[in-house]
Amino acid sequence: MPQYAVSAIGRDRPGIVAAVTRVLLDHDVNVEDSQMTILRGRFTMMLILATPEGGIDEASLRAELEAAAGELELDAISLNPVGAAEEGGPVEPSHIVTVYGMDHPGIVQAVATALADASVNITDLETRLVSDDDGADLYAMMLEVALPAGMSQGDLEAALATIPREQGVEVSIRELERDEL
Amino acid sequence: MEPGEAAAVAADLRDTMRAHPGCVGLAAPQIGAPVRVIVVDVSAHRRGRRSHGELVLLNPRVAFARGGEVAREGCLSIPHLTANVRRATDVVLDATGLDGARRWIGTAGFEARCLLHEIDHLDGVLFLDRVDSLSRDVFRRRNYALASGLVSPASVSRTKRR
Repeated sequence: MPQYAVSAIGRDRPGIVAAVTRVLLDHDVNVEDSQMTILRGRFTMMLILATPEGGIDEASLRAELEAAAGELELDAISLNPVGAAEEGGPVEPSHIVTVYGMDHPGIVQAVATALADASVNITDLETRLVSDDDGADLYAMMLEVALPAGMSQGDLEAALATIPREQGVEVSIRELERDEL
Repeated sequence: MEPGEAAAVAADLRDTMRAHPGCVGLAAPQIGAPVRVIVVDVSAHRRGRRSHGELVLLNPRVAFARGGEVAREGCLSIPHLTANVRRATDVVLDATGLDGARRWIGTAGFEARCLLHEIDHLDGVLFLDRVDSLSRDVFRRRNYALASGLVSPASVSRTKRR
């Protein structure tokens, strides 16, 4: 059965999840995975949906989602078919990279590019912007990453070695401890 | 907080911490100073694998925290008890140094735990406030005086002989 993704964003208020999932339930769509959080006062959601046997009426589902979004005064909602997930299940992160420094455009891009060039997979990324009274904003980012086969922590450190100087940030790397039971 | 006051409190905190081997951090309220100053140094501790050396921080606050891990903590202000406490594993702190410059500290593990413990003191929160269960997660400490250097090993053995 094809899978769909729903994503939405809008000013946070009670009832967004209830309204969106009401529409999904009416169409017999199952929420298989989801992540919802508040970003700078906006509620955001990303859902992976499994469709029922016999498929769905995509046009009417989209229309009803858009109607719900209109009532909730959301900024955007979308429904899209999604391709197959990567074979072999989710990638397990092995390290946490913490990056922090004075906020300016380009930090995420520089770090992500360095990681991509080293074939390092980002499995989770969170950022915070903390404002100070004097207007100096601290930008902090924590990434969970999975290293390609054969790559060591030393290689990861080398891949990110030029970031602190180029971006004026601090970078620290630590291995995720895993208890083998 | 006057710069001179912060420096005096920091010096007092540092001296008090150094006077207790095994002590890896102190906060101003623990020495009766109602200001937001902490001192942490985990570099000599066996768990202090990741360390910034001696940290003296004014007005520290947690800018970013993630992860969670339970580990055993003690406190110089509650010398007879230890407890299992859940805390974030990775943090970025926003603080001011003794020189008045803004300072950001990113750390993890034991050093992060110590910094969070000391910042809690500034808000009147003790590690006992963070345990899940007072009956299961709190433990009585037997040899705190010896472990902390409150008494010398010699005085302990003398006491025993009597």
